[in-house]
Amino acid sequence: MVKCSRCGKKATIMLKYARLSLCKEHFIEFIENRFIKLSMRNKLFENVSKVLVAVSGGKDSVTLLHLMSKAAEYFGFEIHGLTIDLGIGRNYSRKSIEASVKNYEMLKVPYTIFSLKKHYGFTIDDIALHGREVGIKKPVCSVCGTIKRYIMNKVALDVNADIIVTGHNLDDMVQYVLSSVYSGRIEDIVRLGLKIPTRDKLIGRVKPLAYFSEKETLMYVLLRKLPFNYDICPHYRPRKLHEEIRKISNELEEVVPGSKITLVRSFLEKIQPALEAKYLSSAGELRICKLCGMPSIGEVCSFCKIKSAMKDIIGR
Amino acid sequence: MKVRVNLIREKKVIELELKDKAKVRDLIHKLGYTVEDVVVLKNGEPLVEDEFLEEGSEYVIMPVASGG
Repeated sequence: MVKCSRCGKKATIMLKYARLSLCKEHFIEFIENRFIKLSMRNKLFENVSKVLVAVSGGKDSVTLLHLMSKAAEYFGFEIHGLTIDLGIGRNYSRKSIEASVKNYEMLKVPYTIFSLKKHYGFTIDDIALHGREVGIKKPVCSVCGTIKRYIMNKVALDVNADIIVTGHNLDDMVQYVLSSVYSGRIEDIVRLGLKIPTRDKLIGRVKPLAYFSEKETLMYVLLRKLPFNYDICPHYRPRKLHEEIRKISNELEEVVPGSKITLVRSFLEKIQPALEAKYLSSAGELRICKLCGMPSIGEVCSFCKIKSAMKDIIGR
Repeated sequence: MKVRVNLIREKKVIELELKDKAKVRDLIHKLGYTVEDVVVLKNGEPLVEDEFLEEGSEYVIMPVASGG
């Protein structure tokens, strides 16, 4: 029997990068303490009085919500949850919202459920079905990302949040870092920081789970028996390069424990800041969308372009 | 040794033949995963990769990747 490094009880997880085997109680304690320590070390919540927590109801964002609730108490800020009802069928959105609400209520966190259909008249399912015929050429996942970022920013402004936190985990970061190096898109690399500061009405973003693997977030929700949606979005299509990066980085992690953290830390602490200092201007000046008044790169923001394209579909 | 494997994503249960005194890690590798890719549960409890498997027991394989 493998024993917990802290108490000698039966271990439930081995964290090779930290040279630890931990039982349920000590794993939960380890994750919660590490979250606070990393937040302090990276100054994630300095001068912050309200944080918008983006929750999809999946394992990462449910873990994020619970850890943010601990951090809110520790650092003394408020949190507000946001779950977007994207109108995705096969019960996906229904399950996502149900899991999110259960966690908000468990923690007594105030929250907003923002319905895409109610506010704008269309859903992600509508985009998947009719997007191409109305001239939306980007893949549905990419359009969904644009919509979510827009709504997160809008709700953050509505509730007076200083920053938005999202549940991007270590494995997501490894994929972003390596795929951006493959593509050489400097503008993507510049945007990959652990925290992106607020620029005018574009509220800053923070990724507090960037050093937590998805095995750790899954173990956290399982061991704490937290409600979460384990389903995969029916619109999700794996991208070959990302899938292979995931496989290879996990194979490497098994032989060289800690290699994923090392890669992401080197990137976030050394490579990204150097590139940001040199290329930040390439991120583009912010303008105001002439249709909705929200921050935009062009005259009309990407969200309003999607909304206009979907106009003919609404009410069909 | 033989064990039953419940592949939760694929929604199917299979039987697997492994070497004697096989560990959870051997089961993970036999299925083509790495230790980082999955959580293995027995009676609802997650197991560490160095734990020995038990003949005839059922193990649930939960991939950690959620896609998207």
